[in-house]
Amino acid sequence: MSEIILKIDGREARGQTGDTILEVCEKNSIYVPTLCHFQGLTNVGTCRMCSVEVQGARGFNTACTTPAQDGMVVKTESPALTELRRSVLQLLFAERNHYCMFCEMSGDCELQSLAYRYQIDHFKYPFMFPRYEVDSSPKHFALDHNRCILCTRCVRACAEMVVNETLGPTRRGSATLITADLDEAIGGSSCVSCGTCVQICPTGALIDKHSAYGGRSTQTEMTATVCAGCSLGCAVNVVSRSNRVLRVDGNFNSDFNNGILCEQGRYGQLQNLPERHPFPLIRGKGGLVHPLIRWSSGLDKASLDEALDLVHQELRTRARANGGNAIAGVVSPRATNEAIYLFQRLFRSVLGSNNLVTIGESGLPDRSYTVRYWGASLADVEKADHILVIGVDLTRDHQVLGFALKRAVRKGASLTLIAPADNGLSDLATLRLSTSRSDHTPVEGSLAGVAMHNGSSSTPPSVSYGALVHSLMHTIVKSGGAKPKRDNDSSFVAELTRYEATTISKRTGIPEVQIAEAASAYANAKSPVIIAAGDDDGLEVAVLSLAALAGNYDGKKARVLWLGKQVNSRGAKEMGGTSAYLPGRVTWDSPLVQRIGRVWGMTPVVAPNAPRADAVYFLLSDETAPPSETMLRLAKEARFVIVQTAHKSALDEYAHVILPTTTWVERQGSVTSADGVVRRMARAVNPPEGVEEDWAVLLELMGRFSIGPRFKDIDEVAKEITRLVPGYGRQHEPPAGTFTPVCVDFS
Amino acid sequence: MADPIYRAHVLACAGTGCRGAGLIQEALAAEVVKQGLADEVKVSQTGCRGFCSMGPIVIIYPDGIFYCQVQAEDVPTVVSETLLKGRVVDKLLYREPVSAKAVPYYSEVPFYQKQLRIALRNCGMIDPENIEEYIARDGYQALGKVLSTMTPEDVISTVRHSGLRGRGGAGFLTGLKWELTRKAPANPKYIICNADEGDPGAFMDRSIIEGDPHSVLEGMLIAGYAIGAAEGYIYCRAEYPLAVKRLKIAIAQAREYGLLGENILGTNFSFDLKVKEGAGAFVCGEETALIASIEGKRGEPRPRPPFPAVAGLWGKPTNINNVETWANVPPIILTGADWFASIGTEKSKGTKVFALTGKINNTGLVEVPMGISLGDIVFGIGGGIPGGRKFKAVQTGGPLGGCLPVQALNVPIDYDSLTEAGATMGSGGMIVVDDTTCMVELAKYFLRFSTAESCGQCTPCRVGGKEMLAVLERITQGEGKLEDLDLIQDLSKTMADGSLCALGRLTPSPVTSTLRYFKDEYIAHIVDKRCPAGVCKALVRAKCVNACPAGVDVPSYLELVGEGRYQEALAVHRERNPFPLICGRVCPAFCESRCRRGEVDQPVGIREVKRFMADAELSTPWTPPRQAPDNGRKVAVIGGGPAGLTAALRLAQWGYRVTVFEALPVLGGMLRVGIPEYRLPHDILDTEIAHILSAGIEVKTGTALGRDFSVDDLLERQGFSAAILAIGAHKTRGMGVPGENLPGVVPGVKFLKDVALGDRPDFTARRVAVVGGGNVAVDAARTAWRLGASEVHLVYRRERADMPANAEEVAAAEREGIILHTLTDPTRIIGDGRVEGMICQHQTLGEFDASGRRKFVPVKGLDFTLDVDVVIPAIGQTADTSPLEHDVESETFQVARDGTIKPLRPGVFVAGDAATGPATVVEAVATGNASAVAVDNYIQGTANTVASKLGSYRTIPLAHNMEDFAEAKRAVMPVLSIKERVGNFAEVERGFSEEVAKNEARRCLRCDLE
Repeated sequence: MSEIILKIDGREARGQTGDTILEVCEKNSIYVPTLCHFQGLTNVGTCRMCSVEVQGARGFNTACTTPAQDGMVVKTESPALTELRRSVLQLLFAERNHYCMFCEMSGDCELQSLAYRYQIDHFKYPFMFPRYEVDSSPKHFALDHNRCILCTRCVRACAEMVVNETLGPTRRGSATLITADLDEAIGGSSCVSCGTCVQICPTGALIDKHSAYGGRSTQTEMTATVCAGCSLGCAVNVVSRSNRVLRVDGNFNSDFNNGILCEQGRYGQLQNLPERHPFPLIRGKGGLVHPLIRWSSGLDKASLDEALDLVHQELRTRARANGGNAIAGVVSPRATNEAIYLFQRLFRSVLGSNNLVTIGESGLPDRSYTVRYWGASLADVEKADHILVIGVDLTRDHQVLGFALKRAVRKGASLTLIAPADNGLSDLATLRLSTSRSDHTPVEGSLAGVAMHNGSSSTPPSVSYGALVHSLMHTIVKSGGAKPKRDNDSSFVAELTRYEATTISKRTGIPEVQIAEAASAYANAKSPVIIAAGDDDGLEVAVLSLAALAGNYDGKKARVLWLGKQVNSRGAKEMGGTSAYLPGRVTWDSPLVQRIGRVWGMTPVVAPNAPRADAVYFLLSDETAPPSETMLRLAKEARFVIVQTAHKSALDEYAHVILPTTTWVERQGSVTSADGVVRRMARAVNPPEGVEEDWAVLLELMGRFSIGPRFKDIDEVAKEITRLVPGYGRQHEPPAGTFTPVCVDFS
Repeated sequence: MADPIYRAHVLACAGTGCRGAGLIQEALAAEVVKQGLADEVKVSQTGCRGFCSMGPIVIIYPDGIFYCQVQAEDVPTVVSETLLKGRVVDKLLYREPVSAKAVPYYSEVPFYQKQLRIALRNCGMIDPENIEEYIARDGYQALGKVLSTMTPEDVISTVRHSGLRGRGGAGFLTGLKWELTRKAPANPKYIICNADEGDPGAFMDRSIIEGDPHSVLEGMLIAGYAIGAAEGYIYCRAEYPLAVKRLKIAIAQAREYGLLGENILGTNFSFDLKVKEGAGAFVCGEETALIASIEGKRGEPRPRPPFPAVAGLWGKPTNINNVETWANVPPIILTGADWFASIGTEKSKGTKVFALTGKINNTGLVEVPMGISLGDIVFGIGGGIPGGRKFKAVQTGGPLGGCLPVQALNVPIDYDSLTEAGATMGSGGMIVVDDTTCMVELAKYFLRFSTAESCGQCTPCRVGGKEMLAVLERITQGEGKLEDLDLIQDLSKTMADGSLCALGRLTPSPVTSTLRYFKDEYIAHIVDKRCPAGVCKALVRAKCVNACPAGVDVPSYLELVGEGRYQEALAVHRERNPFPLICGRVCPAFCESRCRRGEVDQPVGIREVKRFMADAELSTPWTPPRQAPDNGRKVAVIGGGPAGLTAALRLAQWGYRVTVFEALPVLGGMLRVGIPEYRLPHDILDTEIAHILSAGIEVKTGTALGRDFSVDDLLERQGFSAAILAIGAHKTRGMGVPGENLPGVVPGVKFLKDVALGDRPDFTARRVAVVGGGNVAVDAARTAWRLGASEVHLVYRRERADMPANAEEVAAAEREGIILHTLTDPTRIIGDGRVEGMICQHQTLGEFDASGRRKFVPVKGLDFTLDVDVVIPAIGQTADTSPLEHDVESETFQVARDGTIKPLRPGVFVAGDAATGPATVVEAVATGNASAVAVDNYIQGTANTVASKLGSYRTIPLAHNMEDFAEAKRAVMPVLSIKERVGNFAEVERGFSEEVAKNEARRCLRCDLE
């Protein structure tokens, strides 16, 4: 690639070989009107608005499709071009119904805006006014053909960004309509409701049902923040008006998800949510006594001070009476890094408890064979030549990742799928290792285990995905495809012999040759990515080991995307949200424990797990999933239950104190997403009066204890995290919505 | 195994056009066996012979006997007569349309004589399903030459040097395209044959593939070698099943012979072909859309650059050429670039194949050298227009091409000249239209096609086409506005400048080209609410009504005559034309030439029926009804001919006080002094004029403009509010030859006038030459004959078909013994003191003139002298404007537009021949009506049109069973025998009986009811 110099509108404009004229114009801040062009989509040059004059070329050329060449002389404005553009706009206005005053997009419409720019003050051509039926069959949006200008941005977005290929033009000429599949109503089609088409539509042809007529861009506010829908943490813009959220838009400036969202991200987090808790509640207020008795009266409204006083008193008393570990902490990985850090600090430094569990995590430490753990970005997935997907259906969750994977496959990446046969990606897979659902290794008697498994730990063992991954490793090592790199690897290799392909094949029914093929496909790939998720203990580290073992891992090339259950699943581990890890994902046998001790001014101690808890503190944040049976049982058996939550849930019945908190759109702080990037959230709307964020509540509470840390504010908390969690430190530098990668070194 | 040697080869055309020919070939083969000739005669099928209107065609070699329109029942005769007995079957021979002369041999058929067949060299000569027959005619020799003696660069240089340009239409230099593809850095490279011929009326590519598929394969192979491609596609539309079948057979045979596949002819060159069947979208003929279609995508074009030569099929360098281009490649390689470059024009080399269709005698496939004129194709090869109709235009280049009018008949056929003339070469469709085609409707037809075929991607094409179609729809519905023409231009510009591909850019071409050459027709639709060709339903009551200059409601009066309601019938007629008696005798009956019945058998004898109804009421005087009370305003009508009298009548009916000023002592104008009595008896004329005058019109005969009064007198001193100049065209144009002033030279108009006014010279034993081809000439000739001339010669410089006179009159003249000399032009009149002879020069036909007729060119050394005593020049008349020089400028005499007539100056209007030039009675009547309406509008300040002022048409219900007259033939007008006509001026036509007239009237198909 080399620099080229063009003369555009009489001035020098620099670009690169391979740029289109439009790209050179953009780089040089030269405005060229466009309609069918959209950043990231193939240019089709069909609306003709970007026509320019190229010296020596016949007629006009569309800037978006014409390759720029060194020495080219281009005019982007001339009377002839203005005339052509005005005619094109006139034709578009004549073609269908573009009476702006009735249109939801009026004020935000690209067609309308160009009409103003080109001073279309009257209509030259007779209106055709075809009357097309509006397709309002989709749940979240409607397609009004009458407002469509057939720019096909939606079609290309559906095909190229989302690779769903639902939308397409049918019929031809002026009878062309954008329809789904073979003229299906979109609602009954293969549409996945990601809404990308809606956001990309330049006119009011595709409109959001929930936010339509809710306000124009000048009347609304837009807040860049992080989607809390899954562990990817996509960049979103929350659009709000008068402290009310209208909708969630993709952030096309994001270099992570490039504006693409899924149904869950765009719509799911605003729809059908449980009721909020607008103020603190205390059970049997006034009848509060000591020692421990069970209150029977109902929940009464209280001030935050009253509630926190009670919590402080109860926790202090109970910890003294029964030991710290009699107090259990359950944290949702929807909570921010800062809240989780404070929470575990409260437990470990104040209450003397290590009885911590993160919802959905096993609580068992990873194996000692460890690696540097970066994480794959969506761009890495898209650039991969081989993708190994284990135990996750990306057409059901983490859909945005699924879209990226489809883009990669379309570009030629091979896909090995280790998953049950009904996986939505099955048709795309080059190689499919079908196995029944992975088993659950029983977890030794910690609270965490039961919390995670919903009480289903009695599932009969079969072969886990972890074993299968070990088998791949074994095959690779055996074939000489990779050599262990570290001193303790020999023992690891010895251990691998337990996973002979023949054995695993027998136990799973997967043909040995398939295991060999999968191993070789992975080992021979130049830039492979592994995407995995699951409840298998050890699968995560097995996967990381596979990445390391393939011999092509240098911290940049081989990538792993371990998908958590919630937006901050990874952060919860790194903040020490389970008993297995201290902040920085430090295991108890690590020498780094000493360092943490120095920072905390005390030595963290591993305390034995208690068989049952006397008091439980649920930091649910804005968890919306119903509590598991285990969680309910835990609450039921405890004598004192604190529930810090935004939403009402079945736990409320057992709660002695309910502390209301914020939802994700009201939240500040950071989360660490599956790719290992710390993402800052921003407050799009203010929480109800009196509702405080998790970290603020925890700071208040910690201030009531005579021992433990004294954090003045959230910044001090962040500073301490920075010292203990590598990579976290830069979280305050970039603006919200941008990400900083974290590298965790397990060694 | 080689075939045995046969003594005769029978080639039967098996192109799609001669579908039945497959059966002919089988029938011939079976009959040959049946008659025991199987060992002596071989029957083969061939591809298209091109002469489709004469198909199925059978040629019998070695003699080359050419049989056309051979039917299955002819087969036994062909075998027994020609193959067994060696006799030619006369009834199967081709006959020249004019002379009806039989042409027995292929080599002599005029259709083929002007052609030069390179791309079509094997079409109709070989069995397209037999590779050996292709090889026998030097097939694959070029490939052998290329692979054994030429480098790829040599091949490209040869093709470049030949000057071959893309026959798909755009005309890009083929060799240059190959070079660009060869030089493109990426690999692999592909070759594509574009066989997605989709224009209405085009069948060039189909015929080549069906007739000679191997020539296409060989061309592609050569290009594959030259470009460095190993794979090719032939994109052929699935609607061409025979072409697809023959391509597949050809590919299979070529593979079998080692001409396709690995290591062709033992070299390192490998190449293979696939046929991709297209689904029939016209836009897939556009190369990038075609590529998308092969790739399995929706067939939509994409912007260029990058061009396919750089990034084509699957993003790789791709060379696309059209079928005909490929078929030209082997001969270029084999015979040489110089040979090819010697054919054609400077920038367009070689030949071009055209599919000639539409209103043309010889429909078919023709291949002509570039540079031949359009007229040569239409008239020379195409044999002109059927039914003696007038050539109007040719649409070249299919729906994206343009329409070329008569003025373009001399345009040489090459890429640049056609583009300059507003059309395109396109792939070679040539659709001929005659005067029964409405150009607005034609433009609409093509526009509708292209609009329906628009892929819908880009705005200008998708919406612009639809908008333009709506405008044309409006115009043909009679709802157009003059601003619509600007809208069309505006849309055309946007589409041409802004569209993504050639489909959109060229979609407006049929509209812009017809607007360029036939703007009048657009204006007639918009302003006059009239479709001159009688096509646009909304504007046409019935074709006959539309064809009548005065707009007489023909179906209504025919119906009324059929019911015996003559008075009502006459009333209907007189609403538009007050001269039923006269027009029943002398009208050229434009109505009949467009009569729908004429498309079934013969047109209704409208004029004859009219004459009957007028004659039937002859004894009942007609008093024109007054339509408004006296308004006291005076109007002067100068000239008492049909135009003046019509205007006077209308104005009198509307309450004006009208005075007719006539220079001659009698009224009638040309009716009296131009039309001889044997056609229009004076008593009939007098009766009709008396009817009109009874409306209360003052007449001043013997009062001449310029001599006795001036226009200024009338308007400024005599109190006239307006004046209509209906002074006719009485001045005979001079011949411009020496001796034209000799005594004995009498101008035709003067001659007829003198005779009409009673001054009948005795021509006994005199020899008379009349010069000219119009009605005046024929009338003069027949008058001279009646005056006793011993010889009457009618000398005309063009061909008989070009004569403006009524064909019936010419035929009648010939029957009366008048000697016709066509292609003859007098150069000098000789005589000592008086005419003794006229020297004439033979003429031949050259280029086409602006009227679409060929110009005559003298033939040297073929002069001859006609020994005559009297020369009557009748080569055209003009209005004598000399009396007007003080009143109005003569230059302002012109045909008026917009339904009424514009004043020459305030209050002064023009009508009749003075306005239109010499014309017919009914045209004079039309201008008379129009000038009257104009005067009324002028005086009253109204804005009526002729149609609104004269009243709307009433539809008369059908009262008889039309079925009863389904088989009725046209009645024949009884006439005086030739003997009875000698020496007198008795009326020649005798008129119908009541029964005949009623039945003839009932032959009307009543199109007005549709």
